Amino acid sequence: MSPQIEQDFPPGHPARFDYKPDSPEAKEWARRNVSPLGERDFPVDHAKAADTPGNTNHLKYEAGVDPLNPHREAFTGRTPSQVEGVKRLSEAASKAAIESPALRPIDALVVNKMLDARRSELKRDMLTPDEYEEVLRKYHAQREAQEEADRVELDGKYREEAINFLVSRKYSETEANETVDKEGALNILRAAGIR
Amino acid sequence: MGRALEVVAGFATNPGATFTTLTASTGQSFTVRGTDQTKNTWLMSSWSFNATAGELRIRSPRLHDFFSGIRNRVTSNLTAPLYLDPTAASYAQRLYAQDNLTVELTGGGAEIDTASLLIGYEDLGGIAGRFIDIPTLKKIGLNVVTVEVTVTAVTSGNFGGAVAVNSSIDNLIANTDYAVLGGMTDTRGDSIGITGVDFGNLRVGFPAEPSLRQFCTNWFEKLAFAFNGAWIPVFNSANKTQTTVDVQTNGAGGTYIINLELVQLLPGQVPGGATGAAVQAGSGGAPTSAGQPS
Repeated sequence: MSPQIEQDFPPGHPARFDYKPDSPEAKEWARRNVSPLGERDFPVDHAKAADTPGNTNHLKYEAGVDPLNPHREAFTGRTPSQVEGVKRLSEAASKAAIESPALRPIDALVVNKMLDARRSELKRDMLTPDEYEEVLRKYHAQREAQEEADRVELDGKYREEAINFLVSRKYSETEANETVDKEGALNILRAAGIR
Repeated sequence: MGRALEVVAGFATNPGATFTTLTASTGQSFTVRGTDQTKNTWLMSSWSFNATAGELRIRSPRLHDFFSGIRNRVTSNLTAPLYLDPTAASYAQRLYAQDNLTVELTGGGAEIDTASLLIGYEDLGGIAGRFIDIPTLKKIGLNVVTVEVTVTAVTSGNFGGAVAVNSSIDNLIANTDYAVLGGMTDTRGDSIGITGVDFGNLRVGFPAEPSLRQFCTNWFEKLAFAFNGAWIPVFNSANKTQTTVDVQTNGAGGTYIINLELVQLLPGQVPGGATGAAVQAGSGGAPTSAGQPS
């Protein structure tokens, strides 16, 4: 093993024994180590130094964009031809796609109970779309029936309130009934400021 | 409690500089749903997807004023929250039952521009969606799992291309509740919607913005944090075929790869879900306790 040679100063250094100011080594040393304009931010030849040829200081680092390949699509890295191909396919697919159906709101608690009942009945968890539809149809039918019952009950309540109001204003019961039939219970209550 | 969350999206065709009233997506409306007046309804966020910069204006005589109301600049090609960024502390606008909100947009002269409102109902009669808050999530959350779906959007400005959450990868455990924390998309659009039995058939949703993934990946968790309540939707895997994901965007349509970030929950902890009536509850060997770093 050859012994390691340790030098006191690198080639071209002014303090070196063989220093020649015009030698390539001395010029190179001066280029690297002498900064006539003052302290540098990065050493000579550093990738980020402003005077390093090919430095990357001018590159924009935008989200999703490769600064060395800005022609590629942001976030996907696809080449322009790939982008064009995907766009064509996507446009064709979008033309064939269908709009989402408008769904009627449901009570999740009630429907989940009904779905569970159906699952128990069938002894399996995954229902087919038809089975889902069947449960939802049943739910909506029940809900509509309930809403109708509520409406009828409310109509009866308004009618009673309106008749009571008219009777309190010295109408006979027959007159009150006739007036409610003619004017509508809710209209009478609204005019009276009751509802 | 009949909690509900709904993203209502709409579009304006060639609005240009004229404030154009948005046409709500099929089956949707900018009229606030009828609720018990003593229960609160909130405008939690709004966003817009314009190819050309414009303005989004939300007005109602019941809100601050009907002159300018909530009016914000929409920058082009960025579907970011405009009014109310629910990604940190926020402040919701109270809404009123049956109030017909006037939602208008300006934008390009030869394009469909789009916008969405996210409305939260603390108690919407006849809905009873399944939602949890953050403490519950931390307490009963077990594992993180991602659902990835591919949605092909329509070009009409409506929601479209609905696919089931298990349409691409069917890895959910049977009869198990999953909290939807949020999601991500690889393509820009206006809104990503998730609809299902467990949400009362209303569409919950978040902005379809690929460059702001940190906003959307746990969007609903952020909502729950910002508004201090149960706004994290939960669905049961027994309903996976009827829990769908769709997209609303402009006239360009497009193909969207969407990742929904889910957390598997301990079975039987969130009321109102499927009970696993036909098969065993949860998966075989499902953990019986859960927790988060403290």
